[in-house]
Amino acid sequence: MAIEEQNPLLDAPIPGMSLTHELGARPWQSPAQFTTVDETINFYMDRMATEEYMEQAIEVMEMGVPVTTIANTMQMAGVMEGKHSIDVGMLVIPLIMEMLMLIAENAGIEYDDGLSDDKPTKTSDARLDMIRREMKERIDDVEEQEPEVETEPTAEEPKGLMARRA
Amino acid sequence: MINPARQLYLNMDIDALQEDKQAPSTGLLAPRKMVSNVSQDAVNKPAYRVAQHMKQLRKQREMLKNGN
Repeated sequence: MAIEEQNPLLDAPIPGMSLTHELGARPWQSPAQFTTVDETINFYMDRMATEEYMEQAIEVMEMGVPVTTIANTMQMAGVMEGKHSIDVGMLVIPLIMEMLMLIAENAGIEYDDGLSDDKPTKTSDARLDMIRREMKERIDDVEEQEPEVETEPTAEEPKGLMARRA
Repeated sequence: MINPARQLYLNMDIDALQEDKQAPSTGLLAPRKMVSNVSQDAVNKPAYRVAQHMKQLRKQREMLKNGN
């Protein structure tokens, strides 16, 4: 019986794909910006304490994305941007989660911490699709609300051979 | 892709974290230096420092829950 795989193997990176760029061309190939856990903690705390970040985090948590997923994504982004190494990121994940939960409770929203055993640790594709759709609807709403810029009618240019041109 | 966040969070046993105890310093001759029951080794570990931060945040969270 054929076993259907959720993630086809062909989607994986090709062996040696990481060597197709010059060494050091990627941010994660050069030394990390923050080398200690304390520096990394300060970086995340400063970033997460902003009003803009909090609003976005609340919105995402309200949509039902687990805190574990958000924390993991954040630290992965930090590694990809060359902010810190993977091992420092792993150490910082629990702190990011705690901060996210504090933000959610401060805002008084219901959120999924992703810690219960029965729930899958991976965000399902269906949920991601739903979020994508919701975001698209919001963008469409904003675009609809934007007033159309009235364009002034331009005077037609005379086409005749003897016509005067500006 | 496997998300290690759940396991990492559950491995942080914050409740069992040792706390610094302050020595009572009432008399003139009483020791003024803090007597710590936490070894310097533990303090130097990054995981310990992360746990200390987490403890502070959790305290805040519990205060919010209790309506303080």
